[in-house]
Amino acid sequence: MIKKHLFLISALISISFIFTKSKTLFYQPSYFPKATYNFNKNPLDSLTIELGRALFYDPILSANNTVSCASCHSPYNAFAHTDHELSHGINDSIGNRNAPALFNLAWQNSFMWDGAVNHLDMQALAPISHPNEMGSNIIQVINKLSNNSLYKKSFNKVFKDSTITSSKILKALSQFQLTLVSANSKYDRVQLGTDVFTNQERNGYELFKKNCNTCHTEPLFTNHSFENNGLQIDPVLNDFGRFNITQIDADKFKFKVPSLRNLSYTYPYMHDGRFLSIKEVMNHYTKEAPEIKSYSVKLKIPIKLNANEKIDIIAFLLTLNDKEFVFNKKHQYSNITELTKE
Amino acid sequence: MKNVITFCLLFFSIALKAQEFKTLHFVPKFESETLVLQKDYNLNGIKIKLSNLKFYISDIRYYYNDSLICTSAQNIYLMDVLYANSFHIYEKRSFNFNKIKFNIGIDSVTNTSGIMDGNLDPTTGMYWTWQSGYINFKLEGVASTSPAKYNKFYWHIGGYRYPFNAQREVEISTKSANFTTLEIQLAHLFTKIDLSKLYQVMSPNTQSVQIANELSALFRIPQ
Repeated sequence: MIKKHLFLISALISISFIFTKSKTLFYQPSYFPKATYNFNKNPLDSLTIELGRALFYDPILSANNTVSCASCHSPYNAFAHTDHELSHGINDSIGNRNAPALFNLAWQNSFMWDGAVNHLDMQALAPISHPNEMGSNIIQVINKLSNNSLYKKSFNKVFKDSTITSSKILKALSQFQLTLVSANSKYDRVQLGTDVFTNQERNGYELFKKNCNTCHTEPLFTNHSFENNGLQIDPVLNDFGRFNITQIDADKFKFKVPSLRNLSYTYPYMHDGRFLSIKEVMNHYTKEAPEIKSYSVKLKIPIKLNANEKIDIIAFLLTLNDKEFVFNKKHQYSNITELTKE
Repeated sequence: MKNVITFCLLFFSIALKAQEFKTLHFVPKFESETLVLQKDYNLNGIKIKLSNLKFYISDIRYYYNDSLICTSAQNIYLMDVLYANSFHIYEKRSFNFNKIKFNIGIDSVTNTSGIMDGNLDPTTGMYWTWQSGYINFKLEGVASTSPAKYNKFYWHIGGYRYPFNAQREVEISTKSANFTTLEIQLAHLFTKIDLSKLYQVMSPNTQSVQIANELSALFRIPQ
């Protein structure tokens, strides 16, 4: 009987240990929807996260060892590339789109401005292979990592097997990126009842809910859909957006609705980085509706805001900046030597 | 001692192998000949030379008089003309069947489930990187009617989203037996597809669907 109790107690302790362990590795805010990433297929583990972190910051992933994921996704910019309207790649090449910010990816089911990528695990294959980004390919990456004794040692430490494969690399990168949860802004504190909005912020919040929330749905501040928000087509880039992927006419010039969290750290705005300030963005949305075929039905009734109301909305949007996330040391640069230390 | 272990391992590996029964053999052909890469073929005046053939076969089901006898133990096979062994299918038991069904390509659930090992590893060259999705059927070569550089043509047929889903089902009735050979008649594609128009098909679109629609007809019982 005592034995049975002891067994039950130890079982309970180990279960609660597993729960607290996973809790510290991944934070699921109570007021967020349930994360959609399937953690059962890639259970978080602190060593794997650290391997993913080292890979994320290592230019070894690019053809000539000059560009890392972090080159365009800097932690200090909420993993976007502040001040660069279009992404930069190897040999000073320039891409066609603005590097998006990376956070709350466990809630995201499609990646890239046009949703080209359907799973976080597969995401890294695109920049690794793109000639204007890292200009390499997964086979070359596996070969380079396999010839690097520190990586061999680390993979062995993490996976108890030193064979380096696509799935180990991509799952480790996913694990690190899954830990990039941004939920410590003033908005979040207000949700948890530990802070209050100023009158101006509260007024901005009410206006936001009336005018912006259909697409930039709280608490993630995106509904993850694709919309045409009426931007004039850039004749140089001539980017068809979602249409490139679906080949459906109605998807022409639609782009993913980005999250508005960490807005101050992620300028310039839009898929091609054409707007430098939030003010320009506000002015764009309060213009007259353009005559474009796939223009979002949600925007057909023009948004009308006076100058004061715009300022109030901006005051609210600034409460979405998550300073703790942006300066979190756990997300910052690390290299593979850290992982090989005992 | 070492010798004993080696002997045991050898014995068991042979014993295990013996428990596998060959049920299907796929044979790529060009008209009456077994396909040889880089060989010059001539079809109605078109000169054709093939350099690469790879495709996925999934969800093989064996039937006897319309009742399901067995579903393949392995769900997804990657057949690659460079690896003759990849064209043989083995099952864990022997049984008679007189109809088989299988899919050419990868289903939408697998296509959206993240990274996987083995046949589904992106190092196989059968996964698109710029846009998520497996290439179901890859055929490359040179054809005199292709207007591309060096008269090359590239058919990378894949995609899982409506309306450009490229997975196709094959259903073939066979003589009742525990083994059958199936031919893959590649010449069929060149009689149906106009290479002067469809010579670079490498993403899911209306062109890839045209080619996907012909894939089931490639699989036949040899005459």
